[in-house]
Amino acid sequence: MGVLDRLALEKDPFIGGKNMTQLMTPKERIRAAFDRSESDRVPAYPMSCTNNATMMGMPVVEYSTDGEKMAQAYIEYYKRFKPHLKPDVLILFQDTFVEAEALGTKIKLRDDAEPVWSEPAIDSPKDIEKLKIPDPARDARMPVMLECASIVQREIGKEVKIGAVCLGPFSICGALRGEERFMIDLVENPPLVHRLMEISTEALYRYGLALKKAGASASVSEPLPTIVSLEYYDKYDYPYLKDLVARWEKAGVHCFLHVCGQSDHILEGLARTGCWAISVDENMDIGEAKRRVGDKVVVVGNVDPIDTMRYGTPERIEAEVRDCIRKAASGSGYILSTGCECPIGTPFENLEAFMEAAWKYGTYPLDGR
Amino acid sequence: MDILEEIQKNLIGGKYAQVAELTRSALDAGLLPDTIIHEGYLRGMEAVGQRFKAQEIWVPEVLMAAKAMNMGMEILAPLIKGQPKENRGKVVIGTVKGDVHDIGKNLVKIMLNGTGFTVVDIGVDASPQKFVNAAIGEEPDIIGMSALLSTSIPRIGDTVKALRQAGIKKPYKTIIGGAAVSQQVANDFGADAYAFDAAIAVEKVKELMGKLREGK
Repeated sequence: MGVLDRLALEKDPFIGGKNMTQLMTPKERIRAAFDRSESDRVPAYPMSCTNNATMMGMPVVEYSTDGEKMAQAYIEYYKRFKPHLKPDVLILFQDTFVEAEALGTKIKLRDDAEPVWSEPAIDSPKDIEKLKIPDPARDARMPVMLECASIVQREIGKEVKIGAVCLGPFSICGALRGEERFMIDLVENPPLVHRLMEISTEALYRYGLALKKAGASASVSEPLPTIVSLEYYDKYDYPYLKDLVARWEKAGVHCFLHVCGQSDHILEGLARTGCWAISVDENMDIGEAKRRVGDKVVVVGNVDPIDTMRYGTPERIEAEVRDCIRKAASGSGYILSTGCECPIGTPFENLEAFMEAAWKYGTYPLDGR
Repeated sequence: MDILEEIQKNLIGGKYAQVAELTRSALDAGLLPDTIIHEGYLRGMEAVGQRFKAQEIWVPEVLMAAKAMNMGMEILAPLIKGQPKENRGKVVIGTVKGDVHDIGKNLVKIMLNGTGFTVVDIGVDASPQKFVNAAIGEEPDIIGMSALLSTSIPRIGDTVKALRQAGIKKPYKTIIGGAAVSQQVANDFGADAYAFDAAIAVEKVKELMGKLREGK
């Protein structure tokens, strides 16, 4: 009886010939990926975040502003998976404005969608004097994430690995200034850029420590450097990321980097920061990413979250999962995931199909399935 | 190097003060504003578009080149006021309702301006009605919708539908772009084209203009 046939029998606790109690835990699977040893199955998880709220009819504004509600959305989501299909990781994420908002950027909250950016924190360069490093326990919506992380850790932290998204320093600067103005600052006002990067990095450093205390690993999302040259990345982002990673390591915080967008030209640059893993989006070939930086980092990704996960069929999902595993899972050092967050409206059956496909094609030893 | 080549070079390099100065020198030397625009700015922006497409330059450099062109245009605008504006086509562009991301949209605007198109930017968070009003008022050839957030995808459908229902007489084509959208989304919602980035957007717009001319 093949693996898939076994999966089809809900009551059957045997997977891959092993009793469920003999399976590895998510944390063991992820450890194996980092140790470059083969686990029972490629570690796997789809990124489902705000989608978890709307799946249970919770208004987005509640999810974004209430730690208990946000935790409830994740726990409900996790509980909904059949026992043998549970994802290895939960990625806690509200939106990309948490840090910038805590530093003074204004946003507009909405009932049925993520908030939108409204006003910059730094309208004129001298506004920088007003900036204060946020206290994660008190400022803006950082406490919401921390409360969510604590509750999820308490309730299901023994079973699942918890990651929490925080925005990278370069991207925080974009939200502080307005992205277009920040792009021009890079050319016309390097001292301002460096000052903003120092402040953003420090804010992020403290937030990461607080997340660890609450039971979540820092997953740094850094999309903005994908639209600048490697030269600018090296000058204005890399030194700060490298420093952040090193400081965090001393405090026991392991940095995962997630990069949305065209990460091709900065891929090696990101790997040089010393981060533990790089998660890429669907614009990059996952096999190529593994070849290029797989010696330095664990590679994560990259099933298309929109065309495939949100709008695709389970068949399409299975095909893409298989493709990713074939390209990147050999030799360990790989975690199967989606290229980015599965948007609001992603059907739960698609999320389960993702995990089913992970079992069907991702058990080690891989045998050219 | 002649003055037009110098203007091109400085525009490509984003040296806006030099472009302004060279523009004044060019006028003093008796060059016509139209010549300066076509042989100076537009040639320069064409090179900018090509380099951006080839990933030799990136968003900051494109924005600086646009700044340089805008400074030059400010000097020339009063001199060409009233002249019939020759243009390759008219494009209405906006970011759909619920979405305020605009770097992509602005890059497309810059590149299209730089290729000689007239662009009417209706801004961000633009409702289907706002697109319809612009379509009726401006009579564009092309209507472009930008969307970064995945929650904006249904708005693309709403906007295309609203445009169809408005019964606009002048033939137009629609194009969509942004991180959230794809060729699949264009197919599903009936948009005529999809562009992955600003450089490709210019090519697609030119293709669509060709189709319109052929009555397709």
